[in-house]
Amino acid sequence: MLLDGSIALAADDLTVELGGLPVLRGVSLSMRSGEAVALLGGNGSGKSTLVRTVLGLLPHQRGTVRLFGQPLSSFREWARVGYVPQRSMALLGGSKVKEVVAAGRLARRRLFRPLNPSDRAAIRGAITQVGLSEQLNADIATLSGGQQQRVLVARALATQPELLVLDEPTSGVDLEHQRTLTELVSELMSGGTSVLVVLHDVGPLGDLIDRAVVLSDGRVAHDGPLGDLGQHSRRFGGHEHLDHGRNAADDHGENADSWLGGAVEP
Amino acid sequence: MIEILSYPFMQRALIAALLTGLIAPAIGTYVVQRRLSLLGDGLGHVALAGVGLALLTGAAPIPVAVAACVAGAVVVEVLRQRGKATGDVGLAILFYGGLAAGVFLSGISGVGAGGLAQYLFGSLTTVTRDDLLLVGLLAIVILVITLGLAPQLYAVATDEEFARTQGLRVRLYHIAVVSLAAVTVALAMRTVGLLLVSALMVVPVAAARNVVRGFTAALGCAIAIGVTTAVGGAVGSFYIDAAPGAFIVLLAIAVFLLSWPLSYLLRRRRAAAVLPELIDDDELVAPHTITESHPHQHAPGCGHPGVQHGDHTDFIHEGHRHAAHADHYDEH
Repeated sequence: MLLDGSIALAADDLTVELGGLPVLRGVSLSMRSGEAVALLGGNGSGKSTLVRTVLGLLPHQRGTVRLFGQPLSSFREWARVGYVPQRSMALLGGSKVKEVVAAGRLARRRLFRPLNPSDRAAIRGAITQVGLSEQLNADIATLSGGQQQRVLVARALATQPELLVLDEPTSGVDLEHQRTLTELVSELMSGGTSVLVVLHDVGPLGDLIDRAVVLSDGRVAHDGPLGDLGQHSRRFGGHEHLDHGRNAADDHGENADSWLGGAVEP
Repeated sequence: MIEILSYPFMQRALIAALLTGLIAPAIGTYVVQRRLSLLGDGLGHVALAGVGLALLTGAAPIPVAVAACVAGAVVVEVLRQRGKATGDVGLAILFYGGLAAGVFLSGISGVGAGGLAQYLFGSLTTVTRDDLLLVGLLAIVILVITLGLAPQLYAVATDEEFARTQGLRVRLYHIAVVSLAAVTVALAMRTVGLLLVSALMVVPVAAARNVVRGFTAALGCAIAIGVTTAVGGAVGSFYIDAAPGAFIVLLAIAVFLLSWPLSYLLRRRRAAAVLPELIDDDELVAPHTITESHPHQHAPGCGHPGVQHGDHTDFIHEGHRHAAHADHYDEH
């Protein structure tokens, strides 16, 4: 599996300046299909900028990005990519939950065509997966912060992506919601989905991570197993870690936390 | 109603009002969602420049106004996308540039600024057959796009970045929305007038959002309100001999004002539908109130008179009725 050579994401030597200030300085990141990578680092280290750049939401001054082997500029298979942003204007209200989630099918829909049965099934399925079937027709503004976050996750799931990119999905969300999200991501990964997740604190999601990339001041400060971030280096490679689950992972999560707290936060 | 339909000019007026009522809220829904509620106003001023140009060259005003309006809208949108001007600065440039050009051009054409009045305030009864044909054709285009591409336009208006990660060509959609808004404004100059058309793009949408839930429902409801007020205003103004444009907009605002108490009532009804499940029936009948600290043990002959109450005895204690319940006494 690890050697099958299919690369979901390859960013090479990315340099991004925002308002004339360098935010990324020669960052390289590659992900194999099926891999789960956490992007860690303090505020302002460039985590969100990196994911937004690889999705084509921000222009880069130098370097290359490839999604599933194709250069970003000519990449058209957006149905293979799901994105959960940190914030969304869609949460401001005036939309039903199912309307927001339905936007996740646009990459698969043709113009001037109504939703087909597989679109409807994917939308309902995604809403059920995040546990919001009761709120299908609720106005999004009436939901709690954690529920709104789940709506954004459901919207990305509705795309049925091969690569799921989540930008701080756990910030401002209580531990219970974080655990729900972890179970969800774990399910997706067992179905072969690659996951790139920006995390401020490792939290329960850390249990699923194959590899941690730590950014510091726009550069890659660490790229390797999450466990290596702590004092006690732990061996867990590839998907083996997924199988023996979460209890083994709790302590290395804390290690990574303390490492990050000490060394990366300015 | 029959009387009204016997006049050909009123037939044309009613059809023009109906079409304006259809298209203004249809495109207005996306404009409001993008928080560009004043876009229509700015475009109205640009349309005036087109009218001035038409007066100068002797061309038909509506097609020239449509062209000028679309060109102005695209320029402002491109400037905004390139980061050269923020939304409100762009709109301000539209306002002043368009108004000044319109007055200037109509002045040198010899008509004078007074000749612009019928476009500023609408002149529903002077709609010609050719006007109607053009309005009808463009209205079909606008409706096909605003309804047919509703999922795409909705996504672009509510979450531009996510729409981009779905492969949507966001800039193109933005340009489409402002261009269609520009066409709508220019077409509406005969019905409600350039100064008031923006109201018909915004007010029905605001009213619809008060009474229905969800984007699609609001789009449909806004169109219904737009059609009703536009046709109602046109008919009403015929009978009371009022300016149709102003009457249509006042009607729309009246609907908006009514939508506030209506939304309150709807919310209460929805809440009431939920309430009975939340309340325990027993507690509705007899709230469980525990007496304050009560060291005394009631018993027959304890000094407090006993009263039979259903299946148990209440003891009268300083004007209250106490009933034994587990380790405490309840107020009955």
